[in-house]
Amino acid sequence: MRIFLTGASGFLGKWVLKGLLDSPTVTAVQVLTRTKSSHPDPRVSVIQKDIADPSLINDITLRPDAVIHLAGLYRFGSRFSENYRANVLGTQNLLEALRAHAPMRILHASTYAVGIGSAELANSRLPELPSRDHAYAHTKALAERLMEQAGDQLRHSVEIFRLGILVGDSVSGSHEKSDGPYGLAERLLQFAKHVPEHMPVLLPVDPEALLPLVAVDEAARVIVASALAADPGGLRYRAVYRADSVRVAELVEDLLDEVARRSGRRLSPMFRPVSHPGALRVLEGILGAKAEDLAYAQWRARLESGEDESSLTHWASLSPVFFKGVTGA
Amino acid sequence: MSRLQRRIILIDFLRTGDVLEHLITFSGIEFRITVHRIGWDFETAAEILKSQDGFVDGFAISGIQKRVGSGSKPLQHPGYLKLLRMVQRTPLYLADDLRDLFTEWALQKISRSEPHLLAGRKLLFQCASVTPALERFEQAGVMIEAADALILGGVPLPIRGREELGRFLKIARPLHQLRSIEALKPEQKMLSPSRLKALIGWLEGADGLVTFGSLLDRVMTPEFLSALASKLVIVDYLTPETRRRLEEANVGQVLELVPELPGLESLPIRHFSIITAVLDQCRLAEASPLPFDEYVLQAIQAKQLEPARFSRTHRKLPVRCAFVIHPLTEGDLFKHPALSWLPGSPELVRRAALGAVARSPGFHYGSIRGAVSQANGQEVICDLYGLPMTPRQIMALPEEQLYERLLDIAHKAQKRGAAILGLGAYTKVAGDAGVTVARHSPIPVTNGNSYSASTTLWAARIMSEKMGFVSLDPSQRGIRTRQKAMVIGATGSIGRVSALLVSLVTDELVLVAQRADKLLELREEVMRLNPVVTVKITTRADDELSDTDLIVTATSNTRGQLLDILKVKPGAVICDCSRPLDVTAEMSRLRPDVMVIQSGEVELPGDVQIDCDIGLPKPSVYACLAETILLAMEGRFENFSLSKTLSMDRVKEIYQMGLKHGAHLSEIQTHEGVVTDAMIQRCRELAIARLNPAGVGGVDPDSLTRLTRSDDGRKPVPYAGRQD
Repeated sequence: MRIFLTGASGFLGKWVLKGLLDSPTVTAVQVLTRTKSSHPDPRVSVIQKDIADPSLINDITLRPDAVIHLAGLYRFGSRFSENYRANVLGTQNLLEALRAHAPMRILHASTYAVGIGSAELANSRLPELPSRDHAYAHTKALAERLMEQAGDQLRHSVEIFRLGILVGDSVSGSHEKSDGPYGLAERLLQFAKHVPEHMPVLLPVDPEALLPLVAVDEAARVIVASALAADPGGLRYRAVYRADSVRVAELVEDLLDEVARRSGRRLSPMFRPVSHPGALRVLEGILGAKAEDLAYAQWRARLESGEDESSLTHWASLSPVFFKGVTGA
Repeated sequence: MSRLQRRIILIDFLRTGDVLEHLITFSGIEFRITVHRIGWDFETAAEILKSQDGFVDGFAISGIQKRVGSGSKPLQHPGYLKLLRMVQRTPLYLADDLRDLFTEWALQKISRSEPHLLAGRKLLFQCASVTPALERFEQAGVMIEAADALILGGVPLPIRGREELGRFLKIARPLHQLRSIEALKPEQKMLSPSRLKALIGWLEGADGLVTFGSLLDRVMTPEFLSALASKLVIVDYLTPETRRRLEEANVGQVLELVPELPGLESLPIRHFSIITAVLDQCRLAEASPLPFDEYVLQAIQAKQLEPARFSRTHRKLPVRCAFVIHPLTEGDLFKHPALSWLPGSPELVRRAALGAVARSPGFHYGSIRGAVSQANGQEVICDLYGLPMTPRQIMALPEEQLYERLLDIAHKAQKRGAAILGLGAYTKVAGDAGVTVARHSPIPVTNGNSYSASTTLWAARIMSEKMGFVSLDPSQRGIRTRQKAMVIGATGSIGRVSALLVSLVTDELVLVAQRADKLLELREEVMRLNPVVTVKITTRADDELSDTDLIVTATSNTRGQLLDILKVKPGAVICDCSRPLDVTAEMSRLRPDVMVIQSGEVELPGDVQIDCDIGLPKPSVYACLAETILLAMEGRFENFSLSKTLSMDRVKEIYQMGLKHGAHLSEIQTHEGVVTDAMIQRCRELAIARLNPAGVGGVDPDSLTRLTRSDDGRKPVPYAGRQD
């Protein structure tokens, strides 16, 4: 089997590539990456280029059996235009490059965040786009629409994976970026060193909201398994998170327990919605995480997960590994 | 010609949403058009332009244009300059050039073919500073009201006219230079509740809206759509969804400026920048040596392009007409609050004041609204212009001065958007009854006499039958009655036609007028039309009154008694068409056994609202006024009734037009008010008593039909009038 893979050097991409190369049925993988020019595995060829570079069309030499599109931008504080470039123009560019090979099987990494602002997220086409104020969610939703159009117009077989919040792998818990729940955890640890015990911590999030966490290796396993399985054709949506994943309150309590264990100080969470935009931004700066990245307050998450849910680890079992990743111990 | 697919990227600065892709074929070339709807976001636009520069055939831009402002020195749009710096290899296409061309062309065509569509209309321009052909709009008679200060700066003050817009731009330009173009964000600011509310308020007071499809899409709230009902919308293009919403909102008319290009019909966003891109790419594909402007000109001819298309919903845009009225007596003038003190003042003061008032120009007195044709749904608004002169003053005025006064009114009416002018009462009696005015007027003219004549006979016929003293002639298939009729003032405009019409339905006719030569001529004309009728001519009405059943008066008599009421036959019907009336109230009271009616009142179709006093009970209008409105309903913007000579064809034509559009005779008026069954019954009884004073037995009054002619035993037409 021949695979074309984008975003191979990213947090998820590394695990997906590993998973592919672990399979004896994979005979060739052509990867698109900005940062690397070669790979030790002889089955792997590297195109070192930006996903939004239109000349990519000339560089795909492999006639792939499947395309796994992971490349995109997720960086706290990035501008709308940067998100648009990476997530929309990048996806569009990829589809343009694949025109010559249509129809094609495409596995596309999206995010559960495309449901932001909705009452629920079902495994189907989005009825509406999330607000432009949420640049990442909005542009990832636009990318889904591009994939859907490609499926309709060019008869690509498209599988859209709506990934949960990626956290460290289920064994070592190691992660790459300190944002989202990691950012919150690290900030709280820092905070606890300098404040009295039982100091209230203002958290501008809904305690009942859900955080659909998923370990990165488990997410990669789902994608790889799909890629290697027979192609059912058509357009399909897969939720890669546990719908019964952790409540914000539960995560915060566990975080504060860990903080107390390490610092000897037990902070008290104070969940209060903050409506003033300026104040909210200040708080987010302190916490190191956008309020909506932590909890989409309007969406109590009736997340509809897929059949993979049972294969994903529940927070209760994942939390020790998570904190291992936070503290390094 | 190359058959390779051409790729165009459209960047829409005024809309947000999905990335769209469309495939079209134009002139044998396939185009793939990708639409990025990014809103007012120059950073993202830069990402698109820079990443795709050199890899696509063209960038089309919606929401930014090259120029701001009209006139000889438009400014360059700062957004355009910014975009130019972002591309090196791929051409950048904006809408200006093509849109300017088609807008100018469209307005020229409309000004010629449907001048009343724009003349006198107050149109709200959503963003006049980037709207082309403003001068052409003003030349077409449009009153410009612009929302630029509101949209761009949040200032809730409309800008009126191009000059004011120019001053605004001069002030606004340095202010805008203080902040970046990115901060402008018009598509967001437009949606602020306060700005939208102000915009809707202005729209409600306007006759229509001039806008761009992308701007319109942003503001179409239910309240905004409601304010657009029955109005004119001029827009560069509409998406199918927007068109559907406008139709549901009962917008009056929609004028889309974008031409119909075969192959582009399926494109939802037929923005001028896309059309520019497509045409230029065809030019390049053909390796045409022509510059773009010339290529477009050739393409227009080759493809027979038209500049604009209309959509008309079932609700038509109201058409405007005008009508001149004047007080019939000094007493009417005194009704005006400013003159109400005059009756109690000395004669000298009163005369001086009335003289001064008579010299003042005609003015907009009021309007009639809500008249809607039952045939075609056309709504008509009639502006009434008052000439503050009594009949005596009008008749005493030199004709040239009267024509000047009327032409002044015609120009005023035209500026306000009237498509035709009607002349009422003495404004059509004096002079040549509209001929000279029509020759010099900017809009067509009618004196309304055709419909006046038509309704005269209508009223007279109805009343004769209701009185029950005449019978139908069986040999004439129920059309002709056995009666003697008289027309006084028969050689006048209305009198002549009345005589001809009455001759159709009577068997004996007396023509009365001052001029014997004209009487002789008229007699011959009547006999040619109706050989079976017996015609007598005389200059003395009184000699024939005693056995005349129906008398029609149509004079311009201002000097005294026209006929001796005491000599009129009991039970006769006098139909007084003259204004002022020939048969006064005092005369009428002398003969309660004679039915004196006033003709000419008409009720128009629709929920008619009259916001001033025209001397009739509302909603009745004079027949001559109704003629003007009926012509407007019919779309007959032409001189119709002119001169003192009426055309029978025109009389019949306007009568049929009235029936078609739903006009009908309103309640028939007498000096005592509306005719009732009781009044008719009382008049009949008195007439019978007078004809049979001795009360000779055996005579049943109700069996009497013809009281002076041989009775053929036929019963009178049963009365079925208004019940008290």
